[in-house]
Amino acid sequence: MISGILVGIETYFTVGNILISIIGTVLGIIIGAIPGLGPSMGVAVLVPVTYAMNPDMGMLLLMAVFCGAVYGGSITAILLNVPGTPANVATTWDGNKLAQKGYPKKALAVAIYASFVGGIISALALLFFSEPVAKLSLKFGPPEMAALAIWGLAIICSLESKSLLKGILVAAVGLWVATIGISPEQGTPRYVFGFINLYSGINYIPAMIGIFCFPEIVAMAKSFTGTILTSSKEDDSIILNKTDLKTIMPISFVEGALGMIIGAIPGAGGTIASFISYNNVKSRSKNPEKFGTGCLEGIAGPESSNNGASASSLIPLLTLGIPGSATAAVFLGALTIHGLQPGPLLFNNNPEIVYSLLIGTLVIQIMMFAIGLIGARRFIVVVKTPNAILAPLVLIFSVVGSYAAYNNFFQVGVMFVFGILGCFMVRFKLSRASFILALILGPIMERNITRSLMISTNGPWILISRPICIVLYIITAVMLIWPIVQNYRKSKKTEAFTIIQQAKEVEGDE
Amino acid sequence: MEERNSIIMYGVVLVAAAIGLLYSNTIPGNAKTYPMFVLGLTIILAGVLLINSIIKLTNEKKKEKVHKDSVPVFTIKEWGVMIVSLLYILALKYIGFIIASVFVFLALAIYLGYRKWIKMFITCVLSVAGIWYIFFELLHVTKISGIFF
Repeated sequence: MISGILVGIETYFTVGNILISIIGTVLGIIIGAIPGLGPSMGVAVLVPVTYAMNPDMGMLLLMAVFCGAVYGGSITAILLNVPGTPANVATTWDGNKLAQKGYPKKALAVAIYASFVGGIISALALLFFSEPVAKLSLKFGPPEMAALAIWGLAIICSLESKSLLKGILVAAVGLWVATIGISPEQGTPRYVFGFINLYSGINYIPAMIGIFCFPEIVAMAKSFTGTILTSSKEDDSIILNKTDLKTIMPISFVEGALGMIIGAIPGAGGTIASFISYNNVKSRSKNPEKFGTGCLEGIAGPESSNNGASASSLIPLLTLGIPGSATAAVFLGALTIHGLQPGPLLFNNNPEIVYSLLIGTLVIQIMMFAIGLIGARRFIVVVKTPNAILAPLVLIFSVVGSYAAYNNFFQVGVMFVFGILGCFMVRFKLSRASFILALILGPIMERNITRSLMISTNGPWILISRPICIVLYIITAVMLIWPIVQNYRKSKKTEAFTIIQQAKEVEGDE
Repeated sequence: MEERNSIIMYGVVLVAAAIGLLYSNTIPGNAKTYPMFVLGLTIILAGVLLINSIIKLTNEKKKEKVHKDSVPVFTIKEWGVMIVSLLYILALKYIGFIIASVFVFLALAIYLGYRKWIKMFITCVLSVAGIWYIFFELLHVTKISGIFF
């Protein structure tokens, strides 16, 4: 690992890489700040831009955009009460309230400090825990990979959707769409209906651009953005005093670490991490009633957590080749395009590129902190862009991005079809992340199940008899059952509370 | 109304999955096993959710909670954006990227209510030119060319 880190430092610290990191971070912050765009979309649209670059530079650009976008969403969340990304919803509860009280700069500063701490923790995890995880991952054979894919799907189903059955249904549809094309082991065409372009299956980059970007374009038809910059009080400043730092720093470290752990779980991500953190911070607080009125902890917790989940969400991708989130799925596409095969051998085969990326991630957090502090007020200009201008821009980018991904106009059609599907999914509150992850994990699952059956001497039992498989299936079962148990306990508590209240009322009457 | 839309959605998924399952029988060899399993799971889940939605709707009707005003799935403006996007994609191959993109930019901006003409035109020209330059000149992506350019 030490030699890898040294190689990474040598590879990263070139003028080109540093410049691209700065450009990517600024771009990412802008993308994240614009409601409707987000890390997934920003990275997806910029993948074609990396074609002409060296692999290390291309991956650094995408990482910088990703990290910047995760933070950037807090800007509009705080100033306009519009979360730039779903992971910033929790930030609006206290961030905007503090801004409305006349302290928008303070609110932005808390977000920057917390994001920085969370991001550093995530980057360190990516740097130091990636290789040990990679070594462990070599113990993963086809049955383990199949179990892992099922686990990833199960988590995203259970966490992303309010209704577990709905989440599984969406994932099942995604799994079926993933079977379109040539079957992985038999080489038999499936559901191609004579279309040559379908033989290669549904490519997930245009599908992802369509399913995430297109609904946002359509949603922009609903509102014409008119923004008013919140006026700030005289003592409002981006420089935090000692008391404020003492308040937010311990929370940022704890929630950043929590976010890092949640981010490393395939299927979880910044959104889930931010909500869990907000609840955590509130439940541990001596003054929980202050949450929702503009308290600093309510901003620091979710912001640190969602940035903590950012870089660590790439650990399953880099070490096991399994994308743990929609953005990681786009990274998978980018890695493949640059001839890099994510998985256990990535660190051995391409150490200079991988470690350059890991070192770069650390440096990008520092850049993000500096740029965030310097540009705190100036970013407001970007979010004043009316939706009427933004919608056609995003549409053109989506079309060109889908086309450029495979130099094939058919992919633009794929983007549009999945875009319409995405609109319906948003309308019916179906999880788009579940669908896209199923589209990506489906072939992994099928391929590994088929291989497992081929190598097995005791039939399908190989899939559930290995120790790692057993552990993963138990975790999967717990992940699926736990929300049901929690809801049941909550409903019982509410019922008991209602009965007690009614009893008190009756006593009062008497 | 939400439940009614859900019923339609689950019904469509159920029917599509059933058709898919029937078609899967025509796939030779073992290649059909996995998709048939997935489609079977889809049918079961869609069926359960469909029945659940029907029961909810029936209960709502009994409690007279059904809203009589129908809520469209998408507003007219949203449908308009989808149609404009489709026309843009179809036009790309025939008219070419630059002209089609300029048209769709101006059309969408005007459709969505933007009325600052000079700002709109300048943003349009600069954006389209910028995207053209980055993708087709800098990155050497094969040009989408039509009758014009």
